[in-house]
Amino acid sequence: MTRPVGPARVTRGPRPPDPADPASFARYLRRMGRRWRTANGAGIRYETTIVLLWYGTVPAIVGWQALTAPPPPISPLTWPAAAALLLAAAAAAVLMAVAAGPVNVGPEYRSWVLSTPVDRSVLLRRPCVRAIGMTAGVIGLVGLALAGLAGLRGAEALAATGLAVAVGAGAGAVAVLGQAAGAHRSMVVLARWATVALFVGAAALNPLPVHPPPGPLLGVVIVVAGGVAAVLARAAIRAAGHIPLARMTAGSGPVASVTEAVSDQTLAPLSEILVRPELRRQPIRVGHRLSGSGTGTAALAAVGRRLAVRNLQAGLRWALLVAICYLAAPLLATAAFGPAGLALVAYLCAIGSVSGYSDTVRRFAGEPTLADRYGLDRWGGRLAAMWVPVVAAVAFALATMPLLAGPLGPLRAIWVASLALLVAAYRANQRPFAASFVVGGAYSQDVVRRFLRGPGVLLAGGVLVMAGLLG
Amino acid sequence: MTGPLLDVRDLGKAYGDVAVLDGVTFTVEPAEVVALTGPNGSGKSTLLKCIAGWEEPSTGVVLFEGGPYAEQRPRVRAAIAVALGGGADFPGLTVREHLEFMARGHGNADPGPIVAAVLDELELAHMAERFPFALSQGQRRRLGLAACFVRPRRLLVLDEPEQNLDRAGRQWLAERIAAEQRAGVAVLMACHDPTLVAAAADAEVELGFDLPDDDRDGAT
Repeated sequence: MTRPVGPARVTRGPRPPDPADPASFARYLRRMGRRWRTANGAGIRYETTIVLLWYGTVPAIVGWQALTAPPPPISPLTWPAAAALLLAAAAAAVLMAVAAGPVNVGPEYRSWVLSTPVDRSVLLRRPCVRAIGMTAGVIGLVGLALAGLAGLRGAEALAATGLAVAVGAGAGAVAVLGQAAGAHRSMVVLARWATVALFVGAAALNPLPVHPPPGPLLGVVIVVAGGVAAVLARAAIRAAGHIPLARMTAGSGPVASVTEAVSDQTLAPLSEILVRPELRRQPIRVGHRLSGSGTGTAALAAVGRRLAVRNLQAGLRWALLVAICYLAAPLLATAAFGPAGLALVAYLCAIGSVSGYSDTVRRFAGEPTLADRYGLDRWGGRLAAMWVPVVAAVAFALATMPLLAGPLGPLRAIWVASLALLVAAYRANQRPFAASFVVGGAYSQDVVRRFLRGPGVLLAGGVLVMAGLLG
Repeated sequence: MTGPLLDVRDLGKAYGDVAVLDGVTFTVEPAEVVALTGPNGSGKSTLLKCIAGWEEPSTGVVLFEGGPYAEQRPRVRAAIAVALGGGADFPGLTVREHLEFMARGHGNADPGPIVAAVLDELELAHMAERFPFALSQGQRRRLGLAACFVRPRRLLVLDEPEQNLDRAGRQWLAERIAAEQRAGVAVLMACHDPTLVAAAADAEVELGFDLPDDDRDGAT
């Protein structure tokens, strides 16, 4: 329930900050924020607890039972492949952390807190620890899953999870250190190639016969990884004070670009961040190229063909996503859920590869008047622009058919590609997201709308993929 | 100290392929008031953000007291007060708490008197216990200005401080800028009000869209 807050309700807050104690400033703001949330009912602690209890209990119980059950005679992953996948996930976590900041502050924090001479490494300790904790938590969960797939159970599985947490914390700390050093571009390149190389390495290692690791090896590795992670985390917290304001740009920089990328259904803003300048493709100006291109479906098809041929980035992405399907196959080959997992991987890769060729459709959806310039009605323009994504989807289906036809059967392989094309087409045909956010108002509606336009569609498609496999 | 307090050399800023600023060069001397003028979209606010460290310039350098401007250094942050528009306030802190927080952040263990004086001067005293969302745009802008006046400073960076101020408010602003100058504080402000520029500024840097190369740099 929201209660009115006015001058009459103001009571003196906690002790004001002490100029001699830098930590007291951040502490004061936290307490004042708590006072604010308590006063106007804006806290979500209750909701968070309910969500965690409701949605966390069952996965936790199922996960624990899976980890304590006897291991299968043949594990889907060997331990070297699992280790390589863990490191690949850590490299991917660095990539995501760099794209998201990882240390960010809001504009009010920049104006009122970081503009003072108070020691920033103390002021930014929490955001820094939060960033490191986030990567540690995510990679810890990945480690838990990998441990299960590698046939580890009980104490061994927990030890492997601990190792993953240490690796994740180290990855987060490296991302913070890179942010402080301004090594954004080089870190992105390194992390991207490390992710690909380790994933390929895992796929190559998995079929090889291996002996179980020597007993004390895991313990030694955990101690070393924990020590390295602690040193890196300490250095990262200290270095956070040297991050320039311009690189902590919540609301105006990388974080905003990621949000925009999600809401616009296009990865263009992300590529601005993640792609090296020399690899960026030239902006596609459909409207600009219309002059002299004629009208009608044929003219639009000609423009689409020309743009698709020049779209080197989409071509590379298409090839990479096909390769990922082939690399995932040996990793999933011996798993009980292998065919279903492969179908999901193929489904997501197909959407990614088709979306890369959907720029023109997106442009037509975002600018309804564009179709008029071709002498087409608005749906006609979108349909005519769809032929490039359709060709991309068919090519993807043909390229992955040898891989999917065996475990899934040809009909189900076509089903997966068709669903991916439908989802990609639906997403591309959405007009750019217009937020209806007002202070204290309809934010939850926006969240729901964003979900329905983005992850919700993907999930629905995933459910249909599974339904097709079961059927 | 000799030489300019702030030295902006060949500063440029581009967002992707769109160049917003290109080759901006000027200096601000101690106790000098410099006005940035130009039409909407000419890059005044972007220039101030680049100078204040809120944005990274694509090219060029900003020097403060002869050395590279690095807002990571507490010494630099202690010398430069920045007000880049209103709106970036903590929803849970009252006007008075905001100002006391700022003063304490600059080492003032007893900020009560200076905060009270600034609240009176900016006619915010009756709003002192209100939260930012209960303020009008003009009052929020005044709160941003007040934050600059409750702390020590040698350079004041203001983005269109005259916006949302009535005629009396603009008159007060001109007088306040003159007082700052007399106290040895340099002021760099983006401004759309020619009367305020004429009354307060010693120098003017005009930003435009298609200036010839010869006219790009210069404080006039």
